[in-house]
Amino acid sequence: MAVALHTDVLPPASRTYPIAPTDRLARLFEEHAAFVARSLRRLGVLDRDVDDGLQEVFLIAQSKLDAIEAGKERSFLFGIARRRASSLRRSVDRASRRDMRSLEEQEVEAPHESEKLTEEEHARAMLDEVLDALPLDLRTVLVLHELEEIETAEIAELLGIPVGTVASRLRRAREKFEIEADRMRARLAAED
Amino acid sequence: MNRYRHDSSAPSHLRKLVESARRDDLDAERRRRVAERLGIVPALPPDPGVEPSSLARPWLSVGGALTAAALIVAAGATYLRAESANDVAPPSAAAAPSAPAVADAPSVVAAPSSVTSVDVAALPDVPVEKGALARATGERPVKRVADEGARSARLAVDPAGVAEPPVAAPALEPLAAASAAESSLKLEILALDRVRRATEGGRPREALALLDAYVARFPAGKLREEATVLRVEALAASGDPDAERLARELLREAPNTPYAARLRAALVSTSRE
Repeated sequence: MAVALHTDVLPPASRTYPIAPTDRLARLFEEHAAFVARSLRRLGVLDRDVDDGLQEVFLIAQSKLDAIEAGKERSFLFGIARRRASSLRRSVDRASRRDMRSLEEQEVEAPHESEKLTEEEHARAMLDEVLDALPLDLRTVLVLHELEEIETAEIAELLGIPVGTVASRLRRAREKFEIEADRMRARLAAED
Repeated sequence: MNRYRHDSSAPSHLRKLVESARRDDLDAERRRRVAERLGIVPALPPDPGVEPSSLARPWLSVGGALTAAALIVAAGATYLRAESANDVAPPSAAAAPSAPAVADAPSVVAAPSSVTSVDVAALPDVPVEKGALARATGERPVKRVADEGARSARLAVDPAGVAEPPVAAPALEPLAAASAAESSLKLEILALDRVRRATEGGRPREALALLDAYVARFPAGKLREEATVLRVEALAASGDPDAERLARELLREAPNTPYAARLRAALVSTSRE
């Protein structure tokens, strides 16, 4: 219960609409915002862009509220998030990623005090890099299985694909993930 | 299929990678911010000293039907105002740290206006209230503006609709202040660490030079006292009699200094030499 949604204290005006769309959007947001935000981040959206991405996903959802079947909300939102992540990833130009890297390099001069803090951040940045090496369809199942810890059958439902497809994608995703992780370790070791 | 996180036979670097994603959760502040932009959670309560209807008037003259283009212009204006407000904001504790909130402003305001259904009537009170606010309260003006664009007119006009307490708003700002202060402090710590290493490494002259550089760089540094103690130690290490004078001076000025023991130790080491 991180944020209470004050729909109950909205002025009466909002109640004049029989099925107040704000209410449904508020409910969707309350239930799924965290999942959508995590998904965006893990599907390749930069941390600083997650807020905007989250807002966009729910704005799109708002415009299609009628099309969202009851019980399929999460799947619907995830689908939007996936498309947003895909286009945001494309639009994030390499230059801005380079900027971020050079920023990190500047900080190398002053790692002392925050060493502990940055170890996990460093691991997180490496995770980004490894995941970036995966095609989006593999990345998606890996993220849902490994990070979100969703069962295969549910992933299939979420993505609207057969369970067998999820299983085979997952297998390939893990193979590739392991190879890329090793590759990165080797590269880091060579740099040290 | 076993997950890396729960598979003890999985290589530790894989587990570590996967573990690092635990931090991906949406924190309460960001969640509230986006909810506010979506109009789900009421924005900050209106300033009691500002009358909404009078605020709306100048903008109503623009025309009842504001176009999307006008929205974008308004968004830009809001941003500019936010920026200039930041320049003239009083140097209170709340003013300086709000800069990062300003940085969000263009996307915050522009995104909803260009994408969909921001309540057009919400815009009228944006710039005027901003100015009035800055004058009236002299605090938390910028954050307000950043979120103003997505605010519904209904909420702005009817205080009954605004139940969200303003508590969450300052949360963002001290954070930014803390990080600015923190990074400056971090630099001070690093500078003094170098001094300490030089003294410990038997290079007191270098330590003294580094201390001079520290004083020049941080004339109002938070660690001046620590720096003086380091100077005593460096002077003592180089056998300079000034060490004792400086130490006594410091002990006289700050008899309860937590560094007293270190100062005495430094003096003992000089007298031994």
